[in-house]
Amino acid sequence: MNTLIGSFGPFHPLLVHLPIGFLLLAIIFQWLAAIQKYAALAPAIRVSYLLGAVSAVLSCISGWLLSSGGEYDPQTVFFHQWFGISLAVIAFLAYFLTAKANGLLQRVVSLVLLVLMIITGHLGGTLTHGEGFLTKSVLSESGDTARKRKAIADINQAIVFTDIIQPIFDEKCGSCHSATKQKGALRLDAADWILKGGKHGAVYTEGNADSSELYKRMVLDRLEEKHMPPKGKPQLTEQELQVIHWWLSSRAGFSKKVNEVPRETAIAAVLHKFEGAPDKTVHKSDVPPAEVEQADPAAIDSLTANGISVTPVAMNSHYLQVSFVSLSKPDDRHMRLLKKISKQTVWLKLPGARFTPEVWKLLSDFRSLTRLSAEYSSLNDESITSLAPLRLLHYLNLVGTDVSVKGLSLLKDMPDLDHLYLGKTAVQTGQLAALKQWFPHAVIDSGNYTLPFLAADTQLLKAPVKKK
Amino acid sequence: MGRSSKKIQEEAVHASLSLVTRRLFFKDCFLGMGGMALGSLLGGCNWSGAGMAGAFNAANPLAPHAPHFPARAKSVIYLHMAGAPSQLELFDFKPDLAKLDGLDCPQSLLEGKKFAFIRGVPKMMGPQAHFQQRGESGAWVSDHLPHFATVADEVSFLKAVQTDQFNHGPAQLLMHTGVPRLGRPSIGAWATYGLGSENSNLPGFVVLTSGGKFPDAGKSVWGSGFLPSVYQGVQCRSEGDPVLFIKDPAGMDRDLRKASIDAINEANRLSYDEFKDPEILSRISQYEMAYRMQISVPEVMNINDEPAYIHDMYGTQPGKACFANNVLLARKLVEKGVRFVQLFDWGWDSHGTDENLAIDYGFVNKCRSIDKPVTALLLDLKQRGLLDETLVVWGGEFGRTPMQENRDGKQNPFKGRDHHTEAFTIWMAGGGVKRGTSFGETDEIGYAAISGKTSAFDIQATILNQLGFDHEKLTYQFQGRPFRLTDVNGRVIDEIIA
Repeated sequence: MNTLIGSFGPFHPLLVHLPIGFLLLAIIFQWLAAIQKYAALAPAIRVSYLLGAVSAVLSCISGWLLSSGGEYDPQTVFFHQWFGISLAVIAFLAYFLTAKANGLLQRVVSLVLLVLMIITGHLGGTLTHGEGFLTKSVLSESGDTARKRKAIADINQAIVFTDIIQPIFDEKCGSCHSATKQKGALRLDAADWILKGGKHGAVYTEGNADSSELYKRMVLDRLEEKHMPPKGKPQLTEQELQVIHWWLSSRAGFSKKVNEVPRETAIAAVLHKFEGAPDKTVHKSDVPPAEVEQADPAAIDSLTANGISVTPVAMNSHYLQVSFVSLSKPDDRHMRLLKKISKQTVWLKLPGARFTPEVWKLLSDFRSLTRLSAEYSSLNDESITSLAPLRLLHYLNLVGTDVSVKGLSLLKDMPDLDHLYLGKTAVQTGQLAALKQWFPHAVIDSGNYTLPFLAADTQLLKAPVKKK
Repeated sequence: MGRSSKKIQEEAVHASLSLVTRRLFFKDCFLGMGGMALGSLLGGCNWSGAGMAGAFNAANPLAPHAPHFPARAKSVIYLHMAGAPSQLELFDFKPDLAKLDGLDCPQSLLEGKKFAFIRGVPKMMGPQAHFQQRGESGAWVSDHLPHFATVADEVSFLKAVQTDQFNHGPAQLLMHTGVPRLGRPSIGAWATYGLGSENSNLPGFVVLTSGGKFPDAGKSVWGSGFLPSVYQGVQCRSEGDPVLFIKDPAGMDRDLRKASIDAINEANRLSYDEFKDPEILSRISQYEMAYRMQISVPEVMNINDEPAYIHDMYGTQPGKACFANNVLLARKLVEKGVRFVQLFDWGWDSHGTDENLAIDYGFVNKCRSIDKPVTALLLDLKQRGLLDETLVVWGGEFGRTPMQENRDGKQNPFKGRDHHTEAFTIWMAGGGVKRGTSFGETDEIGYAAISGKTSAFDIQATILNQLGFDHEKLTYQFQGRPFRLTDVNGRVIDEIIA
């Protein structure tokens, strides 16, 4: 019986939509019925309120059962609970008032109900989706609330738990096991909580990672239901797992520094990777963060009809990748067609393009451009000026063009340019050092790779002939 | 005369009307209306091509599509060493195995295990190569690959790849189609289905083979399975005509060819109007593409116009069918916008049954034949700015045992290793993969994977991820359910993604 009642709890998030629907309907009917044209709705008000009130009571009961699991932030639960109960009570009040004739009181009550419903609903949303769920974008789900790992200057001086382990927990476990939500009554956002354990007891066994529930769950097969983090959530990396294993099995506890804990060479190498600033999880994006309006479909059609491949860089994106590879001789006419999608084009491939200088100038309008492949094209020291205004450009392929350092000097202060391909250009090997200064963050590739000829390359190894 | 013909006509009308009885009308209504209702119900589930961008456009099946999210790799070159090269002589250095050389294999490694050829108790065999750590990353690469050793910093090694198939054909199918049986689309077909072709004059998926033999699984490893046949790999040859019968026969000029293709297409269009089979539209577009390819393919497949220094770098042998030529072609194809280039090189099945399959002879020669081309490919892609957007994958279908093969309990005439499923090495480079890393470890003798295990599904998921696809959402509706390459498996190997 107990389990039967208990299984009613999880239906709370489903049930709550009934009172929301019924009561909203009742309120709308009540206000509409005041207008002559909709007077016919009046008899429906009372029954709508009754259904709303009854379902509100059911929601309260199921909500109470769900909250007794103790997985949610108690303070938010407290407010959600009492707002919910008052909502149910006032819904009954509204139901009884419909029998009375006092129109003004009825309307006041209906407004109170509306306000209560919004508050209770929002609190409920906070409980299931986490704090600030309305404003937080879906993509940055785990990143926003987690404490960011600080840069570690010297790994030996770092505190094992505070500087290495806790940030991992914050990033990978925080969304379900922290102040806002405690699945399985477990919190991993401070040492005390970790020692306290969860619903099923202790999770931390000092000196033995393999018997620590904490670690065991992390290394369970990913298909197991009990594997943590659960399917669909960002997983722990191999290195993180190794460090957690070492932290537990080496009795590093919560206050020891790295150099106070014994460590084998293997783990020392892994630890070393935690040194310095945290890995930038977001590499420089190939697509600008700002949205853009959709390109004119007619313009895209005319490009396609001319053999130019135009594709969105991703579904649900209006940014376009454009490629001229199907064309044997891209010319001015093709480039002019591109003008209409200058805002949306982010990746542009123009291999072998022979444009006149005026047409190259059109490129200066392609302000969203992040990648430009202009290998073996007629782009030169003069026409390259048109690239200077492209502040987002970070990949530039000039292989086989006549561009020299003179032209590149014009791009000196382009902030994002980090991949520069200069093989078979007029750039001399001796000038690369200067380029390195202009583009300190860039990978500059000047090509001209050769492979030595080794005797073994073409020789066949033969087994000695056996004598009988 | 007129009167009698009118009578016959009336009779015919009567006869046809009598077929349409009231009963027939009701029968049709029930089935028809029911079918319509069911159709709309099922349609409401929105299953067809769930989550797929372009969905199949029969009239232009190779039109380029957007992937799920912005791609890190625009193309893939997959170098498959058919027969399965030995990881223990190339990348997975096990000095402890050398100490066991010649000793009997302990029972613990044999109990409950099944091998393709090993029977009884085989001897352990130490690494038959000299190893060194290379580059800044310190990756172990043996002296069998002296050129590749210089670019070891460019690649990510996966050292604990596992499979559950110990025969070539099924293992190759698993690697490329996600199932060890025939009938599923290959990864190149999936990629082309999802992305279309960037170059409207070239196929999206090209296959090149070398080593004198097809991979054991045959053409199915680049087949399209249940996907429309337009997505299957187009096999090209590096010797003679790049595609069989690509030249017009003597006496047929380009105009006549065009006229005949137009006529065939017109006939096909009529039969499409009648049967509405989308395969007919695929056929029409393939005829049109074939016509365009008659010009574009010989152009791209001609390596003779490449400069001499490129030929030197790759070590090509113009006019011959060889791996080096295929690798150079792969670069040319990718440069022209081909999405997926699949190379199969046969001859890596080093059992030790004869000299060519000996780990200390034939295997070394195979290594020499790929060392320079593969290295040149990475460097050449790099100097063209293409490595950044081209994912290069190298590997076999399984690994090789730390034991020396004793076929049917008897020592083989040459040194060799049997098929091994529990651990082998695959590497990836470029296309948004980390440089100079290694993921996964094997035990001290290279027998079993101990950490960072990966599977064929994980590799497939990772390749699709780099192309911009969520492998769980790239699906195709077939036989009443959506299918995907990785079925219910697969995890993107984040550890090697930059």
